[in-house]
Amino acid sequence: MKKQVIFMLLFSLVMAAFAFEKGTKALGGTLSLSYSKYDRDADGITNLNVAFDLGYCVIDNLMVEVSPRIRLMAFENGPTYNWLGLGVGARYFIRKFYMGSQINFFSSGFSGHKNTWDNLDLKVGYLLSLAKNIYLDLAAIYNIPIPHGGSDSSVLSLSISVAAFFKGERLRDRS
Amino acid sequence: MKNHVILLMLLNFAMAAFAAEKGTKMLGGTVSLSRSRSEIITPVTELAVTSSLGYCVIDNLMIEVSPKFTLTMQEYEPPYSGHTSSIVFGIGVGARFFIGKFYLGSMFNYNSHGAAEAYAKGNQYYYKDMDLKAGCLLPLAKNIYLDLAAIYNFGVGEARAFTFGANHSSAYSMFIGIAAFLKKAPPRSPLGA
Repeated sequence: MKKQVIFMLLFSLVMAAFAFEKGTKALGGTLSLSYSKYDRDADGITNLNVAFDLGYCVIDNLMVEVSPRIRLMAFENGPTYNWLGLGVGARYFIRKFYMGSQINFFSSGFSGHKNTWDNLDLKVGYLLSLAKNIYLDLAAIYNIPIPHGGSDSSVLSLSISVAAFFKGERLRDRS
Repeated sequence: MKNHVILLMLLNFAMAAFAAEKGTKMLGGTVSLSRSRSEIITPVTELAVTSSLGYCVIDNLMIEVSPKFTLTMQEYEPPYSGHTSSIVFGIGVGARFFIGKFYLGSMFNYNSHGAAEAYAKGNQYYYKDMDLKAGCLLPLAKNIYLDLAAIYNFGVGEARAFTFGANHSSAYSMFIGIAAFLKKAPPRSPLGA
């Protein structure tokens, strides 16, 4: 199993080997903490949700990426559900096109039951510039299970999203 | 009940009336089309759209729209053919008022879900709620900000979803996200300077 993981990570790095300069960062995601009630008399639910996508160009056009995911749902006077994930991968840019891959590790727990599974994203995409630092990210992603990784599903998806890429410059003010 | 909603919408606009310049746009969201299959579940095709769009109609007053739509189609088990479909639809309309890097705002949200047939007959589940929010934008780079917000959400009107009748749901939340704001580019000189 370990050999397989190492092989896939190496494959990521080989795929992800030159138009984005060294030091460029990619940033996206959300962190939220909420307490909600369906009704006045209902028990409350506390929800913690962390989903970030962080990237850094270690050399020109090679971006190493980390995607941590945490979800915690605690029912008042009830059980707690937790879901953890970590994606590690890389993208290689050829001008505004890119290809990359990411290996994802997941685990979940609910009322003493635990489950783990892993999978791999293979992706190709195109970045369309909207404004300085902001791009429309058009991507095709094939998510496949890792043999013996506890997952048996595969997903092919096309996505359009907004991505933020910026160099290490500092801004004083938006105005 | 209508008066209640109208009053809240007016409050949106009263709260939302200056640091973002007229013409500044806010942009966020995703469109995805996916098809998944596994050994235990028949293939599922899903189209999902979530977006958050804003436009400053005057300095510091941003009008916002947040549509979301998900269509899920799951194929029947053989020997049957065809599929079953479900729809999640939501729309939020609101405004934000900026005071320097701080903002106050609110948004009215309509949410519904159900099988496609239920939508056709008007029997879908639905609920309405309102967000009141206060936040701060920290600049990370040109056009990119860290958005720190506190949001109070409460039910409005009648619901036909997790509860039937008056919607007394409520939620407090704190949020950190990345926001993209694009300023209107200055007009080009006809001399090309």
